[in-house]
Amino acid sequence: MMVALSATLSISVAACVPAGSEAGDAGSQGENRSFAEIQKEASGTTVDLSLYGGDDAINAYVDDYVTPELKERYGITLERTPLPDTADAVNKLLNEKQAAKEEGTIDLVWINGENFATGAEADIWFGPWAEKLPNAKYVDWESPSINRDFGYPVEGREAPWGKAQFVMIYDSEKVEGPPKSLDELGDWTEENPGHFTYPAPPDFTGNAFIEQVLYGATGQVEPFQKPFDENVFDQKSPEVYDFLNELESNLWREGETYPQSQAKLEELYQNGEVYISMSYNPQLAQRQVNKGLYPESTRTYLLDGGTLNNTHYLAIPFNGPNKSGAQVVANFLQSPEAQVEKQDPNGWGDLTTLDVDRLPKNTQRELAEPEGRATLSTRELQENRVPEARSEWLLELEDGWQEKVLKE
Amino acid sequence: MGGRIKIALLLTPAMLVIGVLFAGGLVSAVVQSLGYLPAIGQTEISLDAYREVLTGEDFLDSFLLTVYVAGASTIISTILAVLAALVLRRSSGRLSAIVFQLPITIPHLVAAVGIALVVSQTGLGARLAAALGLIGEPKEFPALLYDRYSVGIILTYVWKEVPFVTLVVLAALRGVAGELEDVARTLGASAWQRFWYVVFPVISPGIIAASLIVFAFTFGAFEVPYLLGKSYPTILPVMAYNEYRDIDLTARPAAMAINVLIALTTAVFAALYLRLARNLGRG
Amino acid sequence: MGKGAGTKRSNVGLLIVTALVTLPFVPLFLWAFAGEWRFPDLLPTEWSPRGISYLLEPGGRVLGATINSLLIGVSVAVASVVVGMPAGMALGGYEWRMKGAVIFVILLPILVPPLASTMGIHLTFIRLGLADTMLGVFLVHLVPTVPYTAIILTSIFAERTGELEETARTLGAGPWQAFRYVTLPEVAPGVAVAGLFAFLISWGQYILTLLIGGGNVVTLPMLLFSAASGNDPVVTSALAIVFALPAVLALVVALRYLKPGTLDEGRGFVGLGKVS
Repeated sequence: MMVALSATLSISVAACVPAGSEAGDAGSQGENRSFAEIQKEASGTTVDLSLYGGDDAINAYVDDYVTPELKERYGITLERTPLPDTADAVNKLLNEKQAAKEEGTIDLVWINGENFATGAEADIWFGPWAEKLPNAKYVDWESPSINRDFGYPVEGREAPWGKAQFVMIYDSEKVEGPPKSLDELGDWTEENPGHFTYPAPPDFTGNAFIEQVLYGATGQVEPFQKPFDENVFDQKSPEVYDFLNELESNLWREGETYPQSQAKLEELYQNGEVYISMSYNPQLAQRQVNKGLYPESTRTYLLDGGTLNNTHYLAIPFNGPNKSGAQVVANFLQSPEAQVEKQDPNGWGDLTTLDVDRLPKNTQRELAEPEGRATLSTRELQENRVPEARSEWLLELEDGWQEKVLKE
Repeated sequence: MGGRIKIALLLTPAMLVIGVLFAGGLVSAVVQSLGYLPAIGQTEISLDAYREVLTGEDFLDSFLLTVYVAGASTIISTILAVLAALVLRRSSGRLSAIVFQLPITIPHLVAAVGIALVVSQTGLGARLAAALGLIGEPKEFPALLYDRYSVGIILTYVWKEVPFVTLVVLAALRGVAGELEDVARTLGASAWQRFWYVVFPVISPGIIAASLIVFAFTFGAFEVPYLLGKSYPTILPVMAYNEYRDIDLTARPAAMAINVLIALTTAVFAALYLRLARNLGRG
Repeated sequence: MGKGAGTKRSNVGLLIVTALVTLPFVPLFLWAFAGEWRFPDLLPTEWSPRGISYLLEPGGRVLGATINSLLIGVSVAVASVVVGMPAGMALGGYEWRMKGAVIFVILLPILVPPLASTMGIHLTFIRLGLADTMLGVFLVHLVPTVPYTAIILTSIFAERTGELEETARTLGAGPWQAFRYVTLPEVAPGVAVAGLFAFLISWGQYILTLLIGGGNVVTLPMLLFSAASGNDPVVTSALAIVFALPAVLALVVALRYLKPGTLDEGRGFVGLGKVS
């Protein structure tokens, strides 16, 4: 009995001991070795790549292309750890930082936006390292769409992997003239109640939708590129919530509940329960049509004023056990060959992050121009894009959505 | 003397496991709920987290929803189980044992997934309704998943718990109750009288005990509502988990506070059950 | 006369009950083999082995997850029986003062959700290096299982009078010999049942494995949950069927090899059903 009691006490005490502060410094030292050295050390090792696991095409790209290539070229064994949500990895790293766990399990994590920013604030990213990769020569690190992640300075702590652009998807047999502005969306949902909805924030795509509403309802983009200002937020955000609340009664399930994730929204579209959907991947619709999952009448379109575009990255945690391996993997993923394969609309279809002008001519030719009736041309995407707002605005916006829209 | 030591020794392994892993975890939760998180610089102890949680609208909504889901599941399961037991008691014991034990051993997640595929707006039920011409579009079928009344969740719990409660009732029926009932029958009592005055009083302690267990379990269960519940409000364990997952670590004490409150509520039910079981044993 | 009608009613009732019990499995089996099955078709318009090939994919995740689930489940079953048996002996075989309090303590982890204590202990596990490991998951699975085995074994031992052991002792057997050759064979069926339930409880755990395993320890329920949160009912259903298999197997094994009566008839322990 006494043994049990003292064991209980020691467990509780162990939970209370403050974490040592030394583990924290590991994050801020950068990578100083030459890449040749790094590659040598990485050979024969295992790298854990943690990334959102809900998209089969992405999983297939990693499992069927990246993994064998890494094994053959560098002798690296890649292990893909699927995440239900990237925020879970950030949460885990924050826990590990708190517990002073110096060796974690994640080597490389797919990340951007608020997840990166929150992590950076807590100093959980290793770096700088990304600008020293050999393939960084193809990346335009001068561009603010690369060196700032949703407005937050990257400072070499994550390596760009691809580009995303927010698009709307609809079934042309059920929708004549898809709504391109908020007003049009309001009208359309009134005439077609129950056939539109969006994933509940903080799902990534749900966040994007309410961000588009922010730009659309306020008619502005600029103020949200600047540092967070509470007065501006208090002044402008009600327009967003008012619009979304008005929209609610005509949404799927009358807005009583929202699909919990992008995957669930896609399911609704596949089942024909909603006629309009959305995605950060402009090639998704074509890919799903090719697979026979979406009706052939599916089309992709953009909203008036342009849609959000961002870069997504790969970061190395402060306590990653195999930082050399992680850098070799990141370098490979950034290579022109891997990027071309990634952009293949029959696979993942994710747009390249490399600066096309810096690529050799034959590679430029290989970067396929999106094909198919369900997708959009690169030019159209490029000419109609707007930058993401800074993470602080988005975090507040999402919290506000929970309070003011979800809970009525 | 040796006897007491012997008993203490026999109990040690189990007490160690429960004491360290279970009680230790709860104590740790209490400590964190009081705001003690040294690694993010919080070392002051306060009841702030409890104040914030208990006065928040979210907690009340979640608490009420949890009580509703647990209560409805328990009541429906119990009533159906008693009915099932009464109807089935003449069947071969072996056959009913097999049929009933299947749901008991099937994991909750499987039941949830299967039932979801039956009752969703594009599920088997909806397709049957469409085939019969009752509905045209999925949205015309009643929303039984992610809905306000948590119908999908309750159905899953009922499917899982009715067999369990039925077996308990059947056991009681086949025991003493059966003999007493025969006596009552020879004395000329009608079916209803036999049930109400003879059978029911004998089986009710067992029913109540089983119901308490079902209530406590469904109150604290996580998986099924996480999968089939609506966005807001969520039941308490899901609310605790969402707070725990928050990348803003200052939400941690609130998550722990909710856990402690859940533990307290279910502990009360455990105590009630124990009291009842002891009276059962004596009677 | 009353008996005949009662039996007929019973059998009709049994039929209805059987239909309701098997209902959730119908869509699972249909979807697992479906190729294309759009609303409002009652049956899949195309069949496909895609669900099965996902399960059997060489280098796929299902095999690894199943092995993990089995390893953890069996170890938990063995450990919780080893831990629970002495407790059962103490509680079932003897009368002593603090018994009520101890029973309450043992009962708590069954009714108080392990989620609460696991979230509490998570940080400590990280510090001790137990997070993200199979060992950590194994330990945390002991929380819901040990109380179960302890209570089942309590009722097993409560029914024994210890006469046989006494006889053995008078014949000169030592305490360990008495235990090994007299007690054990007698309680073996009950022990098997306890172990079985412990295995099933561990087999069905999701949130505990998710919290402590940190996504690194992948068990079958985690694959199932992940699939169920997605949009592919074919894969989800195939996984659900695989996940349900051991439960059905366990039931079959138990019914064949154990005396009816040891398995369950609500006797003794009312809480026997709170398994998975």
